[in-house]
Amino acid sequence: MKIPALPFILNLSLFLSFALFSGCKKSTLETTSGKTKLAFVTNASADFWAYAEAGIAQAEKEFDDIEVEFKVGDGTPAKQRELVEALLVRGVKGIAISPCSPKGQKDMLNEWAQKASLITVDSDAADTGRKFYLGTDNVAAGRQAGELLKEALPEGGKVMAFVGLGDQANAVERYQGLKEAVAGTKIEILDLRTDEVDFGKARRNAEDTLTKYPDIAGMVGLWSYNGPLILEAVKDKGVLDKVKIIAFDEDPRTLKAIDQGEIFATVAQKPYEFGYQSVKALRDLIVENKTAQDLGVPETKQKFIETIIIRKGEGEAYLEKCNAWKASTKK
Amino acid sequence: MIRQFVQLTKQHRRETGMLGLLLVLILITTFRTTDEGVDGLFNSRFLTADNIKNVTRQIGIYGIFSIGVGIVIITAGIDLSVGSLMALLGVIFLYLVTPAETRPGHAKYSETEFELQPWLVHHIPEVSWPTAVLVILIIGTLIGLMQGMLVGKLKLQAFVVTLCGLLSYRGISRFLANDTTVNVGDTQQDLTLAKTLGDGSLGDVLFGKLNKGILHSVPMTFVYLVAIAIIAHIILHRSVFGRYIFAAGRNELATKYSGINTGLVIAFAYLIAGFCTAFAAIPQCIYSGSVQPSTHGAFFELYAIAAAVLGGCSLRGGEGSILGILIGTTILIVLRNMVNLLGYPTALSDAITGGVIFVGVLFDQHGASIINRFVGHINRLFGKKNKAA
Repeated sequence: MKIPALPFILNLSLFLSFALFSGCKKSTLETTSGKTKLAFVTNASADFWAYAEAGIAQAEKEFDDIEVEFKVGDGTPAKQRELVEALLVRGVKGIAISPCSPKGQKDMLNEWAQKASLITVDSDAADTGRKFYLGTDNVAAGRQAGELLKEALPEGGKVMAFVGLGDQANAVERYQGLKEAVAGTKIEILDLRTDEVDFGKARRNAEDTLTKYPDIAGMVGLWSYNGPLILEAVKDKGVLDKVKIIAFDEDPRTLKAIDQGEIFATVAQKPYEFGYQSVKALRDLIVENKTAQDLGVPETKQKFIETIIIRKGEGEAYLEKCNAWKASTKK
Repeated sequence: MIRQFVQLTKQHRRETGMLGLLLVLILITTFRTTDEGVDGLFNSRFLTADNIKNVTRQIGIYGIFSIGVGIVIITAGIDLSVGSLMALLGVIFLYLVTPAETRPGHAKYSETEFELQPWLVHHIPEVSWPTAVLVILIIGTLIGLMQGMLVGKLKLQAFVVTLCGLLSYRGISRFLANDTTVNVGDTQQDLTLAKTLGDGSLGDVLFGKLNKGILHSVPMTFVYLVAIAIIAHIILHRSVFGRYIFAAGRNELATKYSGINTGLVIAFAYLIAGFCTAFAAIPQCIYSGSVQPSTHGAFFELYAIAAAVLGGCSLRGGEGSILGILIGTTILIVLRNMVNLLGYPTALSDAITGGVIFVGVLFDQHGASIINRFVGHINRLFGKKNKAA
């Protein structure tokens, strides 16, 4: 095969440079403008984090002395380590991270905390060098769900709870809060059913519960996808009028169902605030030289961001807000 | 001198080409990450001690199992089970060094009622970590041998055998761990030395962690890789057995008819792959601090295959070299580091990797004529010079 050598090599190098440099926004390294570099590292990719990214973008817009890298993990500690090590090499001074395996990542979190200001977001890693934790108080969120149950079932009744992994900290805490809130009332929490984040199993769990307990009065989905899947099962069985559903988070299906009166209400976290406040806190720590106490972080080193309850009539509006957040991150 | 060099590049055409690609990547990354006041060569962040350590540590881990997979590919086989095997061995390793009661899968154990999973978890003995390392190496090697016998002796298709491995090892590891994360921190043994040997640097091992020197930028995984690569190079390129491996990969039937037990040769290649995977599994497990059985080591087999193919191994078998596999691995890791350092969106990272592999292989297939012409030019130049002289 005869290919003229020089043009081919030229083409190749052109292609290479095109592949490497096009379509990517200008490397932040080239802007040696003296801005403080911060970073936000997620545990995995999810809509939840897209809302956080919107908050980060807002904070970046408000303060012109910082630039923030938003990095998406793939659910493994190894990937997070690769990302953070590269960020540190790039001269990042502050990192907000949602560790995917807080216990296992203890050593690396401690090491990073020595090299940069580190805060944990959404999932905490206590007894590490992190400055503080910023996220939801899941016990309180569970209590809110319990209060909603009392409202939905004034006469009481049997209630089943559903979650992905029963041993994850937020699942344990939400379930605990739920039980605390309904203690001493006529509401009886039967059990917590887990599905190992298998959506098929999540729906089967709901179906089996409806079959086993024909007199069930309420169902609570502790993770975002549980609500919509419970709803599917309840609709299928045709007992929509008998079973009250409480969901968590802002799945679009949940929000639509709330307005249609099919799901009673949802307890939503504020990922937008997670993003915005973590960047603002890092800036305060590094640029303004403030301490965690100055930022109003209590002794427990856990700063909670309140959850909100979305009821009938508020779902559509909240969904629009979510979509606007998502759109605002597209540059 | 130059003539010898040209001869050498001609002999190792594929390796030379990929080395060129690697150099281009390194140059791009070096000069696009320069910044004032950076404590690295040419003020480049890519060439800071920390980054070199990070990159070579990854090259160490990925290189070790890629060598195993590469040897299997040279026998015209394939090993898809690497990532899952790593997850399985990671879980077993951490179980072996953790007291039974504190293992995450142990919660459901009861003396009276028999249930397989907690029973298994309860009955895996707790041993010291060097013993655990040994056990892991033996299990990995045996699993490799088993797959090798199925492919070499029973003539099952390598793709199918190792695909079953991919599914079942991950399944078993999830089952054993009860689908929860197993942490290095759960152990009650003092794993400091194990952590230094797996995750530290040569300097840490020789002079302690407090000193700082050039050897503190040489991770232990890279040292292991160099040692394993030298041994593998001798086996593959300097021994009779190595010739059998190439022959079995090039034309199994012809090799068999010349009196060589190809089944055994192939089985041995898988055994090497199993051993290499087990060897890499331990530092990887320490690197990530925990093993999440559902995601740990996912897609590692594909990285290994990509590294081997980039380095000049043919999926049809009979071609490839250890040096090439090392260059292929280095390209992949440098590429990932480049994406991170240049601040490209993480989502695009895999696409860039894919693109560069594609360009590399395209150049490899159709660049042959170019290099021949180039070499021809140089020869002619020298020929003319000689004549003139």
